[in-house]
Amino acid sequence: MPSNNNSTNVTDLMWVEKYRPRKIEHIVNQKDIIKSLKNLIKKPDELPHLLFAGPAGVGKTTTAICLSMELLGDDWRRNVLELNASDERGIKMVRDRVKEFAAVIKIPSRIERKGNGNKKEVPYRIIILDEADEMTSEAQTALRRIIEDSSKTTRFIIICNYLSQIIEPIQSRCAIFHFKKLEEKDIQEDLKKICTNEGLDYEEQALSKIYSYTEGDLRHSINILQTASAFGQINLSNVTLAMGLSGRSKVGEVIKLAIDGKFNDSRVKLLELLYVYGLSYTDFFKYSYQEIKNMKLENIEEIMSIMAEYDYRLTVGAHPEIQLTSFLAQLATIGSNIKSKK
Amino acid sequence: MYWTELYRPTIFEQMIGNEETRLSILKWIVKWLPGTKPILLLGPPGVGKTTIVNIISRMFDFDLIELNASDSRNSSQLERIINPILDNSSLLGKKCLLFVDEVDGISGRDDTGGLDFLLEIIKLSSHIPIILAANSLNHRIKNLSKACKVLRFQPIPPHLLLMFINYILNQQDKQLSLNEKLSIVNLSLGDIRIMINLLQARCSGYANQSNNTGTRLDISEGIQYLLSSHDKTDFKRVLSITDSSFPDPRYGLSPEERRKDIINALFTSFVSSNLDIKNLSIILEKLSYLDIFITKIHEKRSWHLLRYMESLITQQLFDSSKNYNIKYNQYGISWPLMGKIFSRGKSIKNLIQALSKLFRVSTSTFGIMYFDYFIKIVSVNNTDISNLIYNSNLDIKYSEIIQKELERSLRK
Repeated sequence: MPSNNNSTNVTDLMWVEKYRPRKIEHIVNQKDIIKSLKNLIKKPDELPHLLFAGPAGVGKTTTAICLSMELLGDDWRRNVLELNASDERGIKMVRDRVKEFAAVIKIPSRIERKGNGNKKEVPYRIIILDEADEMTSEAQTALRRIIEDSSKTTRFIIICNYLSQIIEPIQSRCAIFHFKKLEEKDIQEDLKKICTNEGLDYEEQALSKIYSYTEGDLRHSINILQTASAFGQINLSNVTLAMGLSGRSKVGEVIKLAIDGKFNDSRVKLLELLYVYGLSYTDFFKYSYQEIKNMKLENIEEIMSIMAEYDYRLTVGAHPEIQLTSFLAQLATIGSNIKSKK
Repeated sequence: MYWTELYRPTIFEQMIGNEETRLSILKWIVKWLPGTKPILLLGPPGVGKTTIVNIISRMFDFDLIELNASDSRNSSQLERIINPILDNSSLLGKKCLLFVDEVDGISGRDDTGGLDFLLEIIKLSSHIPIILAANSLNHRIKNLSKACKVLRFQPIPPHLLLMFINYILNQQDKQLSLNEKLSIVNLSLGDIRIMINLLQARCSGYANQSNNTGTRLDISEGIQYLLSSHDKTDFKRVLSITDSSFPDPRYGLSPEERRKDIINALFTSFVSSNLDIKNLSIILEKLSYLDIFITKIHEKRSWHLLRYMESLITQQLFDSSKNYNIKYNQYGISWPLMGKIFSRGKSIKNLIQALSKLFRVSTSTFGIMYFDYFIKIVSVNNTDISNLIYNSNLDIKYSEIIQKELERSLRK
């Protein structure tokens, strides 16, 4: 199984990309959405802007890419702009990148049509805007105008976790699709397919453990599966080892250290996550929430209330490090015991 | 030459303060025999711990082997340096004196096994005299301190500092008013190094400038003074003459603007102090509140509210900080630790950015949900890294960074 192949690139190496569906009909269990999208793209000119909402790792970005490939054909890459709003969340990104791309009239494919008369002309360019709910509301307002002004040349596929964080005017300009959380059997089936393909044995228990940890995030599940296989067989203990490598567990360690009163250690660990791993402040709370939920703490409601307060303060304050540090200090003062160690 | 080096004592008699402690050290070294317990010098910075060790090693002609926080101090590193000298002969044939400075700064994480190794050395071998130094007793060095004779240093008392100021001024042929001298003594909190630095700054024209235009204190000086004032009016007065601002850092700050951001400066000073967690959590809660208040002013552009800031800060922070000797600190954690985090972050930040594009996720998601998995997977795949990087159309400089991270993960 080790691929010594000289032409391997990073995306072949990682199963998450290797097994990313290339056709929308291969997307794992979002049947209603797929059906309706397939109907919509029969008449490409009438395709509205799209808004995909749903949890992480259920196929939103993949669906957007598959759609682009089907609509734009072989040279789709040239006519698609992929942006991740959580890396550039401000109005500057909308002005510089989106506006510029949307303003360019679609690249005519006449040159390529030389001698090949039946090649389709590209109907428009596509902008895929991932994690759009991380955009500031100012940036979203700017985006709204661009969507209107450029609809002749450009289609938007806007992707978010929480629809409520997308401003109304944008919602009303898009056809909205709610991607649902994947069930255990969906995830298991897909993981098993990968195992068969890679010629690997697996323990059923190990696969369920992956599901219960990732809560239906297929992307994270595949990463854990592959890492477990890097440790050896796909069994419970290797899956546990793999899970320990995840950044989410590292966020969990920050929380545990704070609760144990090791405030300074927890701060150093937090700074490492922020400045080495590039963890965003909002993601810190997202992963903390998942981790704390699973910790079986005796005073979990008290801890959740503190977290609620500081998650809120993070959104209204301007010094994120002060807010996160104060959060850890509050945890350190109340402390906790783990109810039942499992 | 910096004055702190220029006026570093070279003989025992030149030192000031902590007379009894210094005498005990002298007695210890004179009576030292194989088997004598090592000593641990405990005390705040700038009171002469390092200086006395240098002086006695010269007095008694020891070859001084010194390890401080700038050296990496994990167990293998320490073994490499210490083992060869344990039989008490240096290259020069002189007797050795081992001095491990800032033992409370030996990190549990990055200097793996360092403390255990030291403890072992201290317990097993007593062939050479060993001196340890630390600012405070934390839980990590508790065991170490039990195996040693602990000698405590106190901050230098004001009258001795004043004497020393007069001595230096005399040497430099400079003059300051008594008030200025007292303010320096006050600001330095018994730390000779801080005192000399302040004195040098004042003497190099800084004072003249500030006297004419109504004093403006640099942020470091301001915060230092602020946090040592014993009176609310004083606290607020210092706040109002400190050269600082209330920016909104979300829109990017230059390093200088960041330094002047008073909320941040208060934060880094408090959080790096030795305050107990109860007090610290109260102070942090207040800073968190102040941050929100300032952000609202910026968002609503209600600049008139800024007139309340000095009162707000005073009201919120004076009571909780008045009784602790908190010092100005530009960084929230010690620089050696922060430096390590920054330099590793700097080297892998671009890598994470480039890879996240290939995997179509945000950098934060890549850092958390992919990076360590990726490193593990690369490590078992026998893949040639430079090939892998080349085939992925990535900058070839990343292969070195990946190689480093691979080695790092294997060390764990």
